[in-house]
Amino acid sequence: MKISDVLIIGSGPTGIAAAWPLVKAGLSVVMVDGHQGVAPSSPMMSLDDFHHDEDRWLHTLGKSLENAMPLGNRSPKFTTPLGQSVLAKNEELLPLRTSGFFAPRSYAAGGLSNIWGALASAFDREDLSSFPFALEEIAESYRDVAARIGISGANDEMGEFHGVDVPLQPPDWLMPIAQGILERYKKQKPTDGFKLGVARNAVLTSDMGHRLACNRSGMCLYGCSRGSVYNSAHEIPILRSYSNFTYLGGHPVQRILDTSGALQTVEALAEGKKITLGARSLILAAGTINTTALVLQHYNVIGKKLRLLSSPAGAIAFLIPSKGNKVKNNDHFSLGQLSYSIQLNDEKSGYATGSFYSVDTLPLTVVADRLPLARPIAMKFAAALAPHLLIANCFLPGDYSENSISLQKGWNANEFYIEGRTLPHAHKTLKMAMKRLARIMHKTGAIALPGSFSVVEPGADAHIGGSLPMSDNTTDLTCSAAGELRPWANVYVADGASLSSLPAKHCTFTLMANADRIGKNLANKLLQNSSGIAVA
Amino acid sequence: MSRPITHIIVTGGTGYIGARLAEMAASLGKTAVTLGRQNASKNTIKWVLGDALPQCDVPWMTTAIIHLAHDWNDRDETGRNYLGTKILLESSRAKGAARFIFVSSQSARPDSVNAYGRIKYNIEQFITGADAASIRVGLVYGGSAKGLYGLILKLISKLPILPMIEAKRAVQPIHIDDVCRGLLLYAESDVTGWHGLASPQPITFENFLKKLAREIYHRRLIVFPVPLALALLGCKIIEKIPFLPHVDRERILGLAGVQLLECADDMQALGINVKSTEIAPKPLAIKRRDLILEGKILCAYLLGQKPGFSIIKRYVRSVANLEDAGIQVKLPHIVTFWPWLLNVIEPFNAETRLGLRLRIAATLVENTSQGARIFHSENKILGWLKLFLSLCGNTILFPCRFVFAKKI
Repeated sequence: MKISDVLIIGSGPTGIAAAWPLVKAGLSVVMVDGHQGVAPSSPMMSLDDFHHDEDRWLHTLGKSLENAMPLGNRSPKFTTPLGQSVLAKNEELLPLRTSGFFAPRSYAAGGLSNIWGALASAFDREDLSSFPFALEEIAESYRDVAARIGISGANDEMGEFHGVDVPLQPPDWLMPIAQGILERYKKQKPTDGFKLGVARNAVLTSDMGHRLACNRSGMCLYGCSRGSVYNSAHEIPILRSYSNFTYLGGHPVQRILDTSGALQTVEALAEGKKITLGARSLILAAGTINTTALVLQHYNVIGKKLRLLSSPAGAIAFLIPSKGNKVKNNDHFSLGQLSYSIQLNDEKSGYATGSFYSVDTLPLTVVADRLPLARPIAMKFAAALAPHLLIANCFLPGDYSENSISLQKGWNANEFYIEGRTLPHAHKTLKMAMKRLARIMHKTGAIALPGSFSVVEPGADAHIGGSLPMSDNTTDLTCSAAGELRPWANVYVADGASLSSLPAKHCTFTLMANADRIGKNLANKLLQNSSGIAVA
Repeated sequence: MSRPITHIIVTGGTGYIGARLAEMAASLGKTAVTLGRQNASKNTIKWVLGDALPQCDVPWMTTAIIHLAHDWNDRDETGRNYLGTKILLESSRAKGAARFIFVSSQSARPDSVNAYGRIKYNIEQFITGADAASIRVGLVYGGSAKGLYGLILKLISKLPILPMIEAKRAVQPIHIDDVCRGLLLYAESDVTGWHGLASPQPITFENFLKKLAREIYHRRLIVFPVPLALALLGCKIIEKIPFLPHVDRERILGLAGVQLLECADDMQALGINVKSTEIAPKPLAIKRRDLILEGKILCAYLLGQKPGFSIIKRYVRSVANLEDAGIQVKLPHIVTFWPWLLNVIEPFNAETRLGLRLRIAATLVENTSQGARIFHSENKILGWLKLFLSLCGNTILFPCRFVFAKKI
């Protein structure tokens, strides 16, 4: 057994973020993930060429045509063959049973960042109010991560919401339809408790290292062939150029073996054989669900329910009848264009937030399904309407959910069970927030389409976390401010599981910054310890 | 399944399921003690919801409690049922009983429309720990005419036409003997959390009732669909008329809120092959030639021109994956020559057989260059005009679609 300073489980955005400071500090780091198979290649063409490409169905429907079937109300990024190849199946390792919950988890290299919608907002002081550390302690990590992954956006009305203190590239991907809305919005009187601005995306608009600037092909949904959209898998080769970093892909971790002493060990599979990996410190960054499952299995108490936060989410479509919607030079972009935040007026004073997406990159059947016309005309009508449509999603804070995750005894072995539950008034609150959004957007010439409001299945928006929260109280299965998991020492949780709360805001950027913070603290601690030993 | 259980204690032991469960346990060599409101037999101990587990002379290490009792008068989500179950669970743990099985329902959901489902769900939330499990049971039938089954029998034996809400709602019936066998197996297992006990293949409530009427009373039942609100009003009226069976509003709402229960894995693990009341439709052999023809018609309809062969190939491959692939969509012969006539008969509902297959065809067609040429053509003024005209045509055809779509 090879023993390293730090073992990181998971190569997703948080695993990579935690690895950087440790590797730079010269510590020996082993990263392990369960990557198997080959992800479908990303098409290298413009959206127009893609529409007329004979092999397009391979990217949209998959080789075995599984996506020709309707897949229910999920984010479109989950329904592409790429999304399907990234997501782990419920029957896979650490078998999972769910009820009323879609459990997004991945074993792929890069994890869920392969299909990241790339919205990169930082938490502000209020968002962090239930965290056991202050904004100042994570501000540097936000800046460092932003500089590493590359973020584009603007410091406009929504600038403060997204975080003003990060380096930005210009948002060259903004489409005319969104620009038109923004211009008309700026001429209006400001509305109380509502803000609208350019979205903030982890998308490059000027080249950075081996990643190229966005060329506005609009192919984001099927994987960015230029690497403009951040995907943590792109950083594995760079990390591997450091001699103190080892990457073990395709080694799915089965269980945590021992965390009682100075050496932390886990059991992984290597080509079907069980191997043991050991390190002085263990960082769990396998994604909220996988990490929680590993921890619950190790803690081994049947029936103990952990809270699992998820943001109740919905979507609504807007028609923007305007000549100015015409795209120039076939420029498309299918990630978030505009972001908004809206104050909630119920007992849980918080805000809802969401983004506007263009529709012309989505499958026509999605729009045609909602039209009461005969199919052929519905399809033609959808194609004609698509350039004039925007879809807005809307997220509520995670405390509107009451999901739980627990270890249960199944027929043959233990299994993990997630029960989805949304607070009764969450749908009403969501609907009211969207109604208010519709009213405000009406002034900018955007008409909310009647009947287009839909609610997303719990979990299917991938805003999940908070099962092993960082907290000041010292109960078992919570983390310290440094991310150290109680009741053990030297086991750290660096992914969404350790969020203390889940605001409505997209949390991925914060997860990365938090992982970076945990990595930095751990690097300092380990270096101090080893210098202490050297002195002794 | 290795836990030795020699004794079971059944609450609600004089009820529909409880009485049969005690009988079956006895026939399998287990000693059954029933707890009930009345001292029905010498093996029944007087007990009501809210009481702790009474003193019984049983070896607790090999005793399982199967909790069936439910107070229908309690509509409070943390009321008598909730608290009573909590007391029962705590006292059974205090006595060191090996296993606690809570019998829940298919309608156990946090947002269930009736209080029954919400109460069951709330109770499930504290049935945790390695010694306890909740079992969600489907629609129970068979045996003596008691409980909901008794009510159904009364209705279908007396009424010539049965007004029914949600007649098309899928239910998952299970025979009472299978329920009892399953509960005993669950008591002997060490599974935790909730598990299912129902037929994995749902049938519509209407078909279930018709089948029961045919088999038990040899009569043809006519089911007349009524809206939920009207049914609730009907309930109130029936209450006032003597000699008619009384129908509880809660029971009606319970039917309205039934959701699909995934239990195929559980039933397989239990080794119970549920006697489905409906003879399961045999999977029909897929006739490729028929599917090719169907694909040609549907794609030609969508495209307005002859589809390329690769589209048809993909259509056959996709539809072959469907469960009902062997069943052809009944299309009038004439659409073979004029596929555009489908405009007149296309259903509004995308979940009907034709609707779903059209959706699949549309997805396939969209993802070809032929489809792209047709759907993504530049919309010049003439294009918009054409679209507007076909929109008008479509609106005129609405009534036709309403009439004809049902016949497919």
